[in-house]
Amino acid sequence: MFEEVLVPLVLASMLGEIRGRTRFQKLMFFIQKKAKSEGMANVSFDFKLYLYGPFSVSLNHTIDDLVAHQYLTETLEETPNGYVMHVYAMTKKGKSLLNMAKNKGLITLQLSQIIEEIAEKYGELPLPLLVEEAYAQC
Amino acid sequence: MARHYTSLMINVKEKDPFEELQSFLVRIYKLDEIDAKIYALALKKGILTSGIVITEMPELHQQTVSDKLRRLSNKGFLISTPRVVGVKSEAKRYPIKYLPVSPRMVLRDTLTMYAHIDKVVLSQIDEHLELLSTKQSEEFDEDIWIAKPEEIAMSRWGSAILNAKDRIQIYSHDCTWFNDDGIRNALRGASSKGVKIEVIATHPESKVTVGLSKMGINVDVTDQPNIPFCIIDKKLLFIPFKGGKLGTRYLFLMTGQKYLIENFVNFFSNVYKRKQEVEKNV
Repeated sequence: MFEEVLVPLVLASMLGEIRGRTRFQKLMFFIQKKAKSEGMANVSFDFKLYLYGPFSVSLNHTIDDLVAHQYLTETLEETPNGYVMHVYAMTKKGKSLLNMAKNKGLITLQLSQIIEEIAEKYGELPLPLLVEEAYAQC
Repeated sequence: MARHYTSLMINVKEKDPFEELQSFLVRIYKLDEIDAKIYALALKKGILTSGIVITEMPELHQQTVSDKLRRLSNKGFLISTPRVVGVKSEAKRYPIKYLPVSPRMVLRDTLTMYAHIDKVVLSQIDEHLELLSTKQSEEFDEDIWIAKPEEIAMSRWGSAILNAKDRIQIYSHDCTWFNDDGIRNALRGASSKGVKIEVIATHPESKVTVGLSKMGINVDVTDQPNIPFCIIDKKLLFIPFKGGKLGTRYLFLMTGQKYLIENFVNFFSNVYKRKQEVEKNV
């Protein structure tokens, strides 16, 4: 329950900013998959295979809620031809929530390590490659 | 009963939900305007007869009202008492009554479809557009594009301003674009990110120069004539022109053509140089 709100925040905190709603979705998919493979079932977004790989409607809601409650900022970066990239970053409010959650032990060390591993491995991967990788892991 | 509830409705500043529903039914559901009005009336009153409709909408003919009520019943917006078949006098004594069906029920399929489009379909399109945004935009750069209608044109210009990384150069006449909230906010946003914004105008309104100056943007006045334009990061050129049905709406030509942009950048620099020379001589 808490993890579903906290994991996206930890991920945003580790990456500094998450460039793309698509990237957010795929990275969360990797984290959830890895966590489940290690016996942690506390993050359970309803990923389904769509046009560009795994996508979860409930994760989309969570991201929107985190933005609405000002734990994350969402900036729309538009290319000259009008295509939009959603960019997410932590706010001060998000950071303090995360610190409080860490202090209370709401995120296990094991889960933190998984998020860090995924962030390092895939965080900066070009988006088309990230989508390909997510497809491959579906 | 129905009268009792409608009399409890309070005049509030918020939009009237019945009017909003009516507008939705006409614009999106493509229901006939009068049908939508009668359905909204049914929802307000709780129960309808053709007599009530005629009292509220005297411009309608009795037969039209009966037809419309019957059509709304057939479409599932209203449920009715049975039509009394018999002598005329008997039918008059028992007018057909209509009860409104909840819009949640009538619009169930439409609302489900909208929710699906919002939550799933548009999110998929977002992903698609994000992937497109990572590709080169050569095709866009090679052509000149027309952004219209005015709302879309201004919104494209505004988001280009907001997404500027380095420099915005605007050559204008009276700077009336400053009256647009979206453009003003975009300029404020770009300025707060540290983007250099230069404005040259032939006869700017004083309230505009004051407003821009509050954002830290200086307006240089020139007498050199040209068509208005805006260059974003020396990569994107916007040229406004008047269009629309009455020729009163602002539309934009947009391009990423390097040669064309260079010409406009040079014109902009020359205006500055000339201005500096004049100031030196003075």
